Amino acid sequence: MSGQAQQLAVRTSRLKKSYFVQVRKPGFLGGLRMLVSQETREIQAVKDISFDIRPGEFVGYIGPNGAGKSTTVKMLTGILHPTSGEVLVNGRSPQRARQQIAREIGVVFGQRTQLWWDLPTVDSFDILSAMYDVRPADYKAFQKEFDDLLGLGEFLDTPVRRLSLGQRMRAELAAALIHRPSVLFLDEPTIGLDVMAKGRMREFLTKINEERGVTILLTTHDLRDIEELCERVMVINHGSLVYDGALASLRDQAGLPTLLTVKYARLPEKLMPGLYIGPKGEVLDRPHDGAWCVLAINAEARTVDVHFDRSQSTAPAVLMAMQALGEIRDVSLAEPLIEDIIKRLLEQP
Amino acid sequence: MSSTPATRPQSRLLAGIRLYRILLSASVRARMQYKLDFVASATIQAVTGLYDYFVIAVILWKFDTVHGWDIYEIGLLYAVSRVGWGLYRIFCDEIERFENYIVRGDFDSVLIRPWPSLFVLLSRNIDLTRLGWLVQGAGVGAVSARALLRAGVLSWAGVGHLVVACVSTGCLFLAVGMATASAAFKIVRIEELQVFTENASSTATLYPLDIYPGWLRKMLLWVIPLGAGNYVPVRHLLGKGGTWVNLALPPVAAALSLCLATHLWHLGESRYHSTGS
Amino acid sequence: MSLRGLRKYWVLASKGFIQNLQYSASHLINTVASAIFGVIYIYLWRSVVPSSGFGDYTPLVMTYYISFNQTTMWFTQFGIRAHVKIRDAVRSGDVATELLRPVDFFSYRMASEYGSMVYGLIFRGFPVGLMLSLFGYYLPRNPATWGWTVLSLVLGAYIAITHLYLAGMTAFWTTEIRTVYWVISTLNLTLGGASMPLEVLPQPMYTLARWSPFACLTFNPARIWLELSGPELIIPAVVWTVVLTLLAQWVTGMARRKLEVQGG
Repeated sequence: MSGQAQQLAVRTSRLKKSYFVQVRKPGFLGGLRMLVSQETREIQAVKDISFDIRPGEFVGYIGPNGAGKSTTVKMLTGILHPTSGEVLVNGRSPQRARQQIAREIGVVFGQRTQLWWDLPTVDSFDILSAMYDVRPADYKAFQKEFDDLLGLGEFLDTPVRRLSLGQRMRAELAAALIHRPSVLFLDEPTIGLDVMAKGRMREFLTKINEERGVTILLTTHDLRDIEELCERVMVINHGSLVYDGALASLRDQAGLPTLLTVKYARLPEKLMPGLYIGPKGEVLDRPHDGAWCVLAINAEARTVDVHFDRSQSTAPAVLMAMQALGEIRDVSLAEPLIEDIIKRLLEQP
Repeated sequence: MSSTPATRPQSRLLAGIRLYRILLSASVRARMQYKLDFVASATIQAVTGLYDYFVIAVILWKFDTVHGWDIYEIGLLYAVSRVGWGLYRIFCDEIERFENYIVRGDFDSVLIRPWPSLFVLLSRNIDLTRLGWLVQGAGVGAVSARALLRAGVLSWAGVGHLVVACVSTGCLFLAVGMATASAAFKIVRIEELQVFTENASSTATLYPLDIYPGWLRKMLLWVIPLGAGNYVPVRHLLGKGGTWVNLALPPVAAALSLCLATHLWHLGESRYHSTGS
Repeated sequence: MSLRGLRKYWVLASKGFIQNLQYSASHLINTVASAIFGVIYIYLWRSVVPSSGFGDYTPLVMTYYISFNQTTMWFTQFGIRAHVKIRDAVRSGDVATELLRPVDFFSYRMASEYGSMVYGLIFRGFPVGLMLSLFGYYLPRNPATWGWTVLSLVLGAYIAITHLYLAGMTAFWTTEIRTVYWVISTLNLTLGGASMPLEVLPQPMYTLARWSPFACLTFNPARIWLELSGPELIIPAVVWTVVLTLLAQWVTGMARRKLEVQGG
């Protein structure tokens, strides 16, 4: 065993995926011409991506819509074949060994269900356990474990079409893990879930990653997911990887600023955009350690927008500071958009 | 650790059968949930196709025979076709409705399973409401066969051959359905194409192919070979011509068609791998 | 009915037409498929009808009968969705607002269907007719025949829509209209003489069918076009138009009252 390198869970090498679409010509004559000519245009969904994922890692994969996230995941799972470049999952190519790799991976699509819509949830599990040749003893163990972890027992007999979104996502997760895959691909699994359901799912994912060593690649739009779950994050934009590294460094480079909007009974007179608020409510004109930037003030609505970095301060701390400046009537929080992160990343030298 | 993959052909086969059994019972249970709706659907489907039989029955009441075929003889053609269609729709409905998989992007979920995509589709659902077609076909077949047995035109061995013909026709419908479904990989919406390859052609084979011009007959025997499933064997069983080859043809034609259709399916699937949905 | 009212109906009809305008290769395939159905029946009849014919129908006339019917079926038999729309409106509750609109509910449904039916005739019926003319298509020399045929088809379409309107209206009282729809569409085809002239039917059925509203959909227009009957066949169509309209209005009134009592 010595000298043998630990096999990578996922390796991609100069991965490229292009689509060729017919050039659309306008008008009726253009439509006719389309039938005759074969003029095509190349759309590069994934341009040149290379990354390695070691077993047991929990990697976040973020990017704006249409950046190529889903395309990458589809190539990793064998749904799509790359135009060029190499993909290896557990040392094998999903292109050539789709069915074997299917036994070693689990996939959850946030927007689509893989369960049997009209059947009770438990039937989907029964069918999947037969499909993946899960031994009866293992299946029993799975049922018990996942009931504890995800609380499936309450809706095992309910048809899938009658489950709430939170229940269904729990069932999808369980279904993806029946056969004990070593790698789990999650495509927007938290979309549409309420705060509690999201928290529950995050807890579960952390558990299976830490206790069972399941490698996880998580695609998401919710940066809270990334913050709480992933040590490593990859950012894709227009088909290329613009960042691949530790989450902490991403924060350093791009920051993860949250926008806090506070509505005052009466606007504090001292406040102006460009100034900073210190932890005790003092107004500063220079960025100070632990001070937060005032972004904008709306005199009519009596609101003040403040930027703060979640990794360094908490919302209550900022609120307390702002409370010192006047009576607060209303509060709202806005999370940073992926687009903003990317913009900041690209602005870096 | 993942479960040991069953890669030997025999264990794959056994695993496939076990999976199919579980799926069958699950589908039955699911249908039983909507008992009333099931009965209504099955009933409507039982009588839907009978319009075609009604037409020929009235025509034969007035004109006695169509090209020398009487009502019972045509009844056999009708029965084999309907039973075959019913078998196809009951066991392979996901192929018939494959368009949805492409339109909704659900084919991806099929591709992440450790089985060939065709197997996943064929084992996904068993639609018992389609029993109506079976009942309708078997009913007409029983009445016709009884009359023909009495008249001495048909033998009991012939009835056995009819059963083989029914199953072969079901396979032929599957082959045609699969070939049509593979077109969905390129053109997505295939409902109109299905009217051509399935509805029009099966209606044509309800009547003896003798009445059609050469080009149509050839098409129904060689291109959309549904005629090979009912017309060819029944013709010989009724002493209207042909040899024992006629009786061997349905399963052979079914096997060949399925091979060709599977090939077309794989072509379509590899197209899907490069262009997605 | 004012000029503005007429314009409203025109807009509705043309909307229905434009909604259907997605001509593509799939429609071509469908046209070929419909033509195949025509071919099936043409050859079926050629093989049974003796050369001396039966009644008014020689083998050639039967070919003309089938090819004409396959064209007009796209106008009076297929593509009407009134029953589905009414059922959906009842299920969703929108029907309450629709019943209260200034446009008469029945006329509103009628106008929107005419648009898609004209589309069906032009883009599906006409190409099928073209294809079947390879086998034989009758073209009357007398221009009056054309006029009477058009009139009989327009009335037939009206009756067809009314049939399905009534089917859809049962949605106010039952949950599933599929059975009613199926019964009506089967009667449309069989008693309408789509694949066979009504003379083939045994006696009590023949008389019933001839004078039924169903005959006005396909059989009567075919008889007029083939110049086997004269414009006297317009009369039953007119009678049924009136009778069915009254029936539809009555049913609509009952539905309205039911809504008012139940509150939607």
